[in-house]
Order: sequence, then structure tokens, then C-alpha cells
Amino acid sequence: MTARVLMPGQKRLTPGSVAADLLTLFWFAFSLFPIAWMLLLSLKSDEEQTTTYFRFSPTLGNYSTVLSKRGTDLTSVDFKGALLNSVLAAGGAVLVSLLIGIPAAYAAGRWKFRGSEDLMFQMLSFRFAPELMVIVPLFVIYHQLGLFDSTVGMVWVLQLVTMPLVVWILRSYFQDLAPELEQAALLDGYTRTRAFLQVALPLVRPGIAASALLAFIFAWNNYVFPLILTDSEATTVTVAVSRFLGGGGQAFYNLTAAAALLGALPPLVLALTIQRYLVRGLSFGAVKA
Amino acid sequence: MATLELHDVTKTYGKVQALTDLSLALGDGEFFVLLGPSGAGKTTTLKSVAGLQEIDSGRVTIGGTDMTGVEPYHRNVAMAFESYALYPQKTVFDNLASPLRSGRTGTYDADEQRRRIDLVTTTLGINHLLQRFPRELSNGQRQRVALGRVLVRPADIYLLDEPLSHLDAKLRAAMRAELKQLGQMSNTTTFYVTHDYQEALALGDRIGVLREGRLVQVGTPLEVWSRPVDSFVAKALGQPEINMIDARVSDGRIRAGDGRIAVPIPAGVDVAAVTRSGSGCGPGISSWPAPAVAARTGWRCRAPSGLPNGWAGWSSSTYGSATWT
Repeated sequence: MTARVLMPGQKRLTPGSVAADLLTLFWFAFSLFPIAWMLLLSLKSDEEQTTTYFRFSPTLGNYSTVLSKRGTDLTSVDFKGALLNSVLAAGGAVLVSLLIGIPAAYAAGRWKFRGSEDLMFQMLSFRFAPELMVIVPLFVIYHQLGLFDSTVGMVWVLQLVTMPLVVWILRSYFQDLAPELEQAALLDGYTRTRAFLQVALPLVRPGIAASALLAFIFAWNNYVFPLILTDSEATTVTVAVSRFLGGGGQAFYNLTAAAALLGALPPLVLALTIQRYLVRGLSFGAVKA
Repeated sequence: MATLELHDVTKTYGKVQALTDLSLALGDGEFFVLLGPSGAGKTTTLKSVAGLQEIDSGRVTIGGTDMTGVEPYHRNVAMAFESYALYPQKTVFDNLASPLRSGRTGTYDADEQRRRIDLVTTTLGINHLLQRFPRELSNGQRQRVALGRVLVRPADIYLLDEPLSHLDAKLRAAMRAELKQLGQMSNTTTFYVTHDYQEALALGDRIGVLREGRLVQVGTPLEVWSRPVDSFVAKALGQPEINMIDARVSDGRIRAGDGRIAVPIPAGVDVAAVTRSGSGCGPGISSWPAPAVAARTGWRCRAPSGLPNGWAGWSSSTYGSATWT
């Protein structure tokens, strides 16, 4: 008896392969279940929000409540304002990180100077340090400088999170570029600044897109800094979502779910829009061309 | 168009000594070829001239002006990189226009740019590639575009780093012939780097042989070919390699090859004798400049009176610094 010849892409059905497939399915179900549960919960009415049934009369009311003035009066959470705050804080942090981080990454990728590696490591160490470790001194400093509960303050603290990310990702992009390209530009008669702006920068655009997106998501999802360093004016989405659970008052699980899903939308939409760059970007930096 | 001088240029990368006291002077309009194996410091020399890297000590002078420490864009030199270094995001046309648009090599309006580019691309046979991107070119085409980016602009010195190395053998031979014919090349001081001795012999007005960051010999192709100062230079040129045979002096003659070779010489010291294959015992050096096609002729001569043409003999005491192995 001869073994059946398999076409490309066909798989032999063995107990092992079936088990592997089942395991994968199980993993997907396990990891997607919380999201599915959130979606169901966000569609449940106030009466049904504590039930665990999969059968209920779905309503979009929670979404409109969360975004409306009525919802703000009911729960004392200004979710629309928080959305705007998050956009400003995360967007601002990314902008600051790019403005300072791109030249920094270029310098770090191109030139070795005394202490350059130490400087890079120092930058990375911001990422090692637990946020809770620095939050108390930051709280005191922010109160004294008047940065507490301000958007500027949020931009400033969130760029601590995003800057190392941008610098470290982009540095590897710049290192992957052949230095001969900029050298050729120098000999063509361009200054170092123009060689950087006109030759190096356009070539790392995918890297800028990828790092900017990752930085935005990190800034957007940050919870500890806005929790401690804002009160009501500059509150971000992450903190606002948790407030629907009610500190001591009534807990709105359905509103929390709706708000959380709404809060996850902006980074998701952003990621999908620049996905084209992202896929190219993330692989470009990893593999030497 | 300008002279180029290097005075005691020294460069180290960490602990590696890339260039050691390199001194060299190129005349106005000269075509100078630097020949050496990989790692000898050829590219380092070019980059030192271009100002793309700082040198540890020494001076670089272009047209009589000290250019040491001057930024590359102020040196008015053009360079073709071994890795082509074409801008990936620009078309061939825009790559070639790049030096014309910087404003530092002169002012060119759009028509003048197109005229110059057209001239160069016609010469190099890349007219049909203008709208392509570098990634859509073969290595040979890329190399010609890189060469075009050098030729398209006026410059004091052209620096060419192995500009033919990635071409296939046939194209390389054709380009080698063409390169010498190019008008600009014959007018502009050209510093050409290669590891291919045939290129060096065919193109160079003079050749410099580089070994581990030191200039071993400088001379016309004929001088370097027939009077190499040491075995490194002798072996660097020629394929098959030069014959080197231990010989001994007795009775006023060099004797080697079981006595079948006997060359009269003042008695007294051990001698290394070299001959170019193909030169045999005939008058003159018949095989130059195409030694690659000459067959290895061996030692068929018998007791010539005096050193025949194409032969060279040195005593090790005379050339104390030279190494014969």
C-alpha cells in the first residue's frame, strides 16, 4: 500500500495534528472570551446586566448613555471629555516623542560618542522601572509645579513611556540604513541636516509609522499615571472607564463594558488605517536588507 | 580638476591600523589606480580624501588647499561607492539629478539638468532606465547609474571605489575600455580603487600598490609590472602568478633550475630572481599588457649573457626593506 500523495497545503490527518488544531481553537476561545463577554454585557439593559444568560434583549442604549449628557449626570463620568483628553494626551505624547525621538534615534544609530550606549540604556531603564515606583515623587512634583490634572502634565508624563519606545525602535531602523546613502548625499553637496531630512528620514517612514502607533497605544492604555496625576479635568479614557464601576456608588457593569469597547476603538481604527505600513515596518527593522 | 596630495595620512579603527603614514601625490588630470587586496585600506583612503571619515593624523590637500577636517560637501569631489549607494526612494533620473540640485556643484535649470543627464546616460548606455527605481535594476545597471551620478557633475576629483567589480566579465572588459575613453575622465583627476590588477594596468596612468595600510610601490603600470619592489607587489600582478625560484650565485652567475639557468652577476650574495611568465627570453616584454592570456613558459632559456629583458634580479642586501618569499 502506498502513502497518499498530498497536495501542497493539504495536511495528513493524524491524532497529533487534530490535537494541535483543537488546542489552537481552545486557546482562541479562551483569549477571545473576555472580549465577547464584554460585547454581550455592553448590549444588556440595566435589569439584565448582572445575569449570565446568553439570551437577552439586546440594546444599544448603553453606548448612547455613555456618550450623552444624561449619562454624565447619572454616573458623574464625562466620558466624551475623557475621550478628548486621551486623544490630546496620547497624541501629544507621541508628537513630543517623535519630534525629539527621531533625531535622538538617528544620532544614537549613527554616531558612537562617549557614553552613547549608557545614554541609550538609561533611556531604556525608564521602561524597566515600575510606574508605581516613581508615582509618589511625581505626584508631589506635579502638585508643586501646577501640572496636576492638566493635559500638559499628562503629555509630559506619558512621553516618559513613549520616548524610549520610539528611540529604541527607530534606532535599529537607522542602523539598518547603509551609511553610504547619507555619505553619497554629502558628496552630492547636501549638508548633514539635509542628508538626514531628504535621504535617511524618508527611508524610515515605515518605522516611524510603526513606532508612533505602538507609542500611541502604550500612551492610550496607560492607567496608573492618569489615575494618580489627574482628578477630573484631564481624566483619560482608561480612568473614566473604571469610574463607571462606581467608587462606592452604584456599579454600572453594562456601561463600563460599553465605555471600554468605545475606548478601545481609536487605537484599533488607527492600527487598521496604517496596517499597510505596520506590517512592512515591523519586519523592515528586524531583518537586515 | 585639481591636484591631490596626501601627507602621512594615518587612520585607525579601534586597534586596527587601517592606514599608516600614507603619502601620495596625484597630478592634475591624472588617472591614478590604487591596487590592493581587500582589507588593505583602499576604501579608507578614498573616504579620507572625500572627508567621509576623520583621519587621525596627516593632511589631505586638494588643488593646493588643505582640506583636512573640511566637510565633504565643501570638498567638491564626487565618489562612486562600491555598494552603489543609490537612493532607493528616487528614480534613476532623480538619483542622477541629485548632485545637480544641491546647489553646491553649480546652478542648473531643469533643461540643463536634463541635458547633462542625457549626455551621461547615453555614454553609459542607461538611457532607457531613467524612470526605474534602483531596486528594479541589475547590479551592473546600478553600478553604471552610480558611475553616472559621479560623471554628471563637474568635480575637482573623481573617487571611484571598485566601480566595475559587480559587472560580469564581458561587460567589465567593455566598460574598462570605455572608461578610459570618457572625456571627463581624461580631464578630471581620477582616484580609482580596485583589487583587479588588469584594471589597474589597463586604466592607470600610475599605479599605487597598497598592503595593510602602507603604500608599497608607486609607479607607471610598466614599472610596477616589470620592476616590483618586493614579492608582494610581484605577486599582486599577473595571473598565473609570477615565477619565483631560489637561486645561488656561483662562478659569477646566478644558477637555478638544476643549472639550466645561469645568469651572470657579480658574485657574493644570495639572489632572488623573478620573471614574468610569457616574457620568456624574447626581446622585450612581449605579453604586456595582457599577461592573463600568456601561458606559463617556465625556464627554457639557457645561460643568457646578462639579464634578459623581462628578467629582474635583486640581492636581498640591496633591497633591505623588501621581502622576498
